[in-house]
Amino acid sequence: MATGVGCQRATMADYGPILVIGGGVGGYVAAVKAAQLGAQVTLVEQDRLGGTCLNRGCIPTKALLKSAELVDSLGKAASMGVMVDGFKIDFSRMIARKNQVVTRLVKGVEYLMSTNKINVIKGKARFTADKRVEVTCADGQVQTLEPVKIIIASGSEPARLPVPGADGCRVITSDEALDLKEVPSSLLIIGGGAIGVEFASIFSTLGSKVTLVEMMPRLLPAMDEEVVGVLEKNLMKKGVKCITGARILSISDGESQDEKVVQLSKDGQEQSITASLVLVAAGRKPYTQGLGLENTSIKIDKGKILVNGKMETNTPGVYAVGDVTGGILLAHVAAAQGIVAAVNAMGSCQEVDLRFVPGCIYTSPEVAGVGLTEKEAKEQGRKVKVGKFPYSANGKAIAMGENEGMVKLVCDEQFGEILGAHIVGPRATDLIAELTLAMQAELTAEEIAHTIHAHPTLAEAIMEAAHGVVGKAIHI
Amino acid sequence: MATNVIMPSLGLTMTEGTIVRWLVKEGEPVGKGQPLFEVSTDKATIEVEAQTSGILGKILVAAGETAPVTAVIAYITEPGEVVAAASGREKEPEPARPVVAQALELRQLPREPGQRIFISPRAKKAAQEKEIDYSHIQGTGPNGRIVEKDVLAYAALSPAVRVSPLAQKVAAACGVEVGSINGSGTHGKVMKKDVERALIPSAPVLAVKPVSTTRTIPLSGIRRIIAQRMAASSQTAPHVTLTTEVDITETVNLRKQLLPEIERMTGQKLSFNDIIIKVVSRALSEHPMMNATLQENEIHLLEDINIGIAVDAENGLVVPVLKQAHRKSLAEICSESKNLVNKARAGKLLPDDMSGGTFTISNLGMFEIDTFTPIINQPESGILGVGRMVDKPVVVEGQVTVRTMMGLSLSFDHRVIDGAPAARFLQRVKELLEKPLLLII
Repeated sequence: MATGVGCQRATMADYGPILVIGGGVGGYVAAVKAAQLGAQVTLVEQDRLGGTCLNRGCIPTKALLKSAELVDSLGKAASMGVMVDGFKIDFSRMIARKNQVVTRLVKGVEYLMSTNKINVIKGKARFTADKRVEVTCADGQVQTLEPVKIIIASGSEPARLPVPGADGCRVITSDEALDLKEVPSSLLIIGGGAIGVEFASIFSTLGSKVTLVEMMPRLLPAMDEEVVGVLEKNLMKKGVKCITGARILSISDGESQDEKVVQLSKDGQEQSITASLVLVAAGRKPYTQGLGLENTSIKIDKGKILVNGKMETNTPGVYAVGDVTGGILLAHVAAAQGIVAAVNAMGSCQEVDLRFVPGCIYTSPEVAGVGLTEKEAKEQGRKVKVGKFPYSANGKAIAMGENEGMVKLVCDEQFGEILGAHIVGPRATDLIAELTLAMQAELTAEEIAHTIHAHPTLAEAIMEAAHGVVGKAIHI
Repeated sequence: MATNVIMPSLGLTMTEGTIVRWLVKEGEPVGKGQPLFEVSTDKATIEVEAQTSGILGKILVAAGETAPVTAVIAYITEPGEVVAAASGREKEPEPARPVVAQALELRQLPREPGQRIFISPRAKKAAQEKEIDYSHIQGTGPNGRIVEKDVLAYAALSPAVRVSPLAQKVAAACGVEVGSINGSGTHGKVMKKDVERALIPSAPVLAVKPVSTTRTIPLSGIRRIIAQRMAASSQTAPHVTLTTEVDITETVNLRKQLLPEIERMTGQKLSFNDIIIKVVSRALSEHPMMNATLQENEIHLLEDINIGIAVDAENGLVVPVLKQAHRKSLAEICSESKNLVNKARAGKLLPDDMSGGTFTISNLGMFEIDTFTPIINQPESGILGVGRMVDKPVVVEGQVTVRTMMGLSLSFDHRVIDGAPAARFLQRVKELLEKPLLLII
């Protein structure tokens, strides 16, 4: 995070109470930071603390994914000498465990609020003027707050699909998908982005017949093509049918009561697919409903609250962070923005640095990337040198029985500057941290190659890929 | 009792001065009135004398460093008296220790929280620039005062960690010295974009093979001032230079007649330059646009006519100013200009001798130069370059006769004045030199 200079510092008295609207990752992190800096903070949340990430996103999906992973492992158990005498999937227990995980983390956030003496109000916030917010509590009580600084972190909600039948029964979003009573026999997922492929991975492992439909020519269009190719091959091996470059025309009821028919168009030809459940994962949109932004001077564009690098809106003293500002809809981005908004609200002058934001896809195998893809780097006219190392030559991966995947480094030819890093394979989402740090600190492929990596680890694949950029990998 | 030596104020506009060199070493005796150090201001380099006798105990602002006016720059002690911090020098030098050990010691200086830290303004500025927490630095000044040297030494202890590996590679490939770059990374770490930014102005030079130098002269003192002022003038003022040739025969005759008279009055020989000063100041009083200065979107026409005289002194160009030239007789101009030129050559000019100029005359005639393109001495708007006098065959009234001719080059700031009025001014100067009797009208 770059520290700016030249901003005027005010005295403590100028800061006054801070109101944070939304208790998701962006909001609660901002609240904690501001409280740590000495502010008197009030946080308004209409639902549970933790927002989408904890309650309906990152965390619950990971809990279910772990269950699915176990199912995957059981499939391999025999080959590893563990003879399992059959097993059964109890989906309701999976959901119950997922809920436990969520509850535990939400309690953790509640604890953070109390240790930092943050006043949490359960209710709905609504602006009645630029700096006046009316909070309607769960019990119907209404109070009006006039804070000196406001941080809006109201998050996002699943986007609806603008096609006929999209709001019918048995058409769900990720919110409902996490609380299903049973594993659907067949599932059609609209949207091949992060959410879509994660649910495809979970439900195909749990036994659903999954069809994944993406409008763009390939799945995960923002990720490196080669790396996504490995995932796509794996999804297909699990029986997931991927239809890319397809446009959804309509969703309608099928012949039987528990059937939906999705009409789509691919390469100018129409086809229809039948599934027992349709999951719409076609992106998310900023959540500002009922926030009363129309009563303020705060500028919005296509639903997004407009902010600058300091997370300031056009209205002095009002900041916005996270999904409600559009941009990159990731929890770790919201957290970074929340910190910047909080320190700026307390008189500092920082700008958020979003040059190196890792993106992680929790599928089997995992996919992670940071920086430019090979294609993007070449499109920018960079002279690129790519270093690749397959997990199939990594001792740890072979021992784990998960030897599919690779580490791919996209480097500038002249200086070895790491322009992008892409991993597909076991623990890809954890391994990307080393490369994100390297990019932030401007390490080059050379420093990574010369860093001793413990043996045997998956991280050795990173070192080998770096060797591949500098000269040649040792173990291939 | 130690006496403070302070950075003197050598003119109304002086806010800070740079020590060019100390003329007395630390620990050496110094007498009252003895030259103690040289200071350079934005106008010139001046020798400053000691105000008291004693021993130069401790120099706080070293040669090359700058200090604000009235800042303490050294101490003069009485013989036998020892300034606390200076005493260390008498001790046996300590055995050299590894740099890391020293660095550790510097960092671990015990200081109570809230304890007052004595630090010089320059040191504080340097620490802020380098984003160094100076509260841990051990000062070497009197009573442990932190001076700039301490901050720089502290910063130099760990230069390797202050540049990213990528930035280092880019800098090495482009031949950029990373030490000279301000870093934008954590705690001032030099990042790739900082190197790239540093490259922008000198980018085209990269392709050129470096020219081998035989000797390096640091750009310091008056040279640095000349460099800055000339570059600034050349870059900000659009210069136009007009040249003309003047028949100076009549002026030569006039000078011959006046020479003994003025020498009797003033003891000085009247020079052609003195007459040119007289002529130019008369012409300026008739063409006020040439005697003007541009300040923030306003052109100020100046009442006084103060003529700068470019002098080739030992260390470089200096421009003493002959004030109120239009109100002075030739004898006064002669006497005063000789005095200024002598002071300039001896390096004895005071800042006020060099301030307030409204127009400058630069004479290169003695080097057999005919015309040249002088650079305006800002904030003035014009400068007259005077060439050599040479006898030439000239056609006068259809007859070829020998006349004494001289080249004149007028550079003017086109922001302030246009070509035609400037040309009219030069034409008037030419007329006055060709018919110097007009001066008495």
